[in-house]
Amino acid sequence: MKLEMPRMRLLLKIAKKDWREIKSNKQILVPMLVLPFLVTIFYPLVLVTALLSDTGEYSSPGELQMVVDMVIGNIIRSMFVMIPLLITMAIASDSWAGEKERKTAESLFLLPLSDTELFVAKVLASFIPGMLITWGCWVGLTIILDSLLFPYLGYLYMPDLTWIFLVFVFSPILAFFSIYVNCWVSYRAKDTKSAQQVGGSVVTIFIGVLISGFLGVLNFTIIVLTISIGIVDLILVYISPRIFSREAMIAKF
Amino acid sequence: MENVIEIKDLVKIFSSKKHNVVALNEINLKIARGTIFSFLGPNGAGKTTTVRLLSCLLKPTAGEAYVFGNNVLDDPVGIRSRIGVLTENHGMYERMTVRENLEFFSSFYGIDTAVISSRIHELLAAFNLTDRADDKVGTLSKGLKQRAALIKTLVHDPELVFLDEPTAGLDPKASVEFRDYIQLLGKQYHKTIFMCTHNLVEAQKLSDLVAIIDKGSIKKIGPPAELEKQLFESVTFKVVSAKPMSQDIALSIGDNEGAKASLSGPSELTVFLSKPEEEIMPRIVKKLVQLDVPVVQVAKQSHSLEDVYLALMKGDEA
Repeated sequence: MKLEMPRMRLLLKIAKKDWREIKSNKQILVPMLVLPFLVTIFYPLVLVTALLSDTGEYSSPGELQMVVDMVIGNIIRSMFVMIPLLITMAIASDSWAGEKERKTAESLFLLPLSDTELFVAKVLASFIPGMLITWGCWVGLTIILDSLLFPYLGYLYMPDLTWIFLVFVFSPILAFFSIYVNCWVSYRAKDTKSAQQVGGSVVTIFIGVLISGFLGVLNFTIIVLTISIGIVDLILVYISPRIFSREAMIAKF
Repeated sequence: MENVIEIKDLVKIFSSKKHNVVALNEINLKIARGTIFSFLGPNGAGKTTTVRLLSCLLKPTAGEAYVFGNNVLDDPVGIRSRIGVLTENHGMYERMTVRENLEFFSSFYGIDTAVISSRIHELLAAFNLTDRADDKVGTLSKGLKQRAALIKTLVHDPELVFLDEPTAGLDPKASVEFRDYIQLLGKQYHKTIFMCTHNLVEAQKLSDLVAIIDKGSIKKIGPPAELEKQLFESVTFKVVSAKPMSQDIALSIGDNEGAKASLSGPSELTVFLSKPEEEIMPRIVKKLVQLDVPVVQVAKQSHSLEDVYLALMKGDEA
């Protein structure tokens, strides 16, 4: 699946077109804005403000550090997993089903691009905004948490290695998985809604991460998931040219 | 002349768990460069499947299909870069303007941006859509959307243009206008046109070559006039008299070798010829005058493509 740079430019044109469609589609845009706001601004502000409202309760700075680790390192970090997972799910589920709903899929199929190139274009259309939003949210979260915690802890709490691993290693692997599953579901579904219903099953990963966060085994869970989902991603990349074809989709029109 | 399309024993079967559907059953077809070809047939006859096979969206189950001399299985991307397809749905993004749609779809053909801009400008003017170019497609009427879609089909200057039911769903005025644009494509832009339609008037007016397809098989193929000849062996004349005629007159015409006649009205006679008209018709008119029939009109009856189509479909049902 080697793509030369000029062809890659063509694929980005499809991705850019998809982003324009997303911007004017409230069904996709609203969850894309609400989720990052809740996870990176609202919940951290509420939780950390509550933690710091009565610092007299903590007998030592070490105790405060322990509570902060528990809340931010476990709960907020596990909630953060929702961002790459759900943002990419929202975009990818619309990738093919949306084209079918708008009756524009055949026009795309008629472009002088191969099946693989079309599939990669749709993956990029979800992966790029998904990762940019994830990284943007992480930067925002880091600024908010550090500005709240620095006066109490006396050092910058973020970024730390576990967050860096989560944001730059685990999130892309997870986003890739969510996109592949949702693109595949979208390619078989009649419309975006039914694609979201089936593709939404990837949320079970988040539930597992959240539970492990509460149990205090988040780091272990993330490492296990990174390896296992990474392997699944490689398999998906290998088999995707075989599962995606214009013929299979158009025969269902 | 070079064949732009060549189909040999093409078969397409859609298979599902429950049953197989034979969409195309060993069809053969050759279309030369510059031809306006009409593919006529009822819904589900196999017209759109043929277009999708030729535009490399579907793969043949058996047989071969060549476009520009290339097998559709060997170079789908290359073939798609040289064709334009107007699908039954206009296929444009309704939230984008006409111009944005045209710029988007034309940007995949490796054509210089300046050339594309000038082509868009030229085609918008030729198809009277310049004043709506910056309106969102969703705000246009069906006729205008179809016109914009035709520009989208042509903007990369394809050598071969497929038009799938181009006037379906248009009101009569818009249909006539659109037909003029199709003629423009053939005459001014010298495109090879492959048009699927069940509009017989459209096919007869526009086409150099017509094929009639039903249930996945081509029933007849040829120029419209040729098809009429093939199907209606006898030439028919209508003779109108200034006064009523008797049955005896019709019978006496029947005495002529190579002609039969019947009364089709009190003062109207239909004459069927099975020999060249130049040979028999003067003799028949002379005989009618001798029988004291005041002949006021002798007119040759031509069969329309509609007659050909209906005769074929009727024959198929029987």
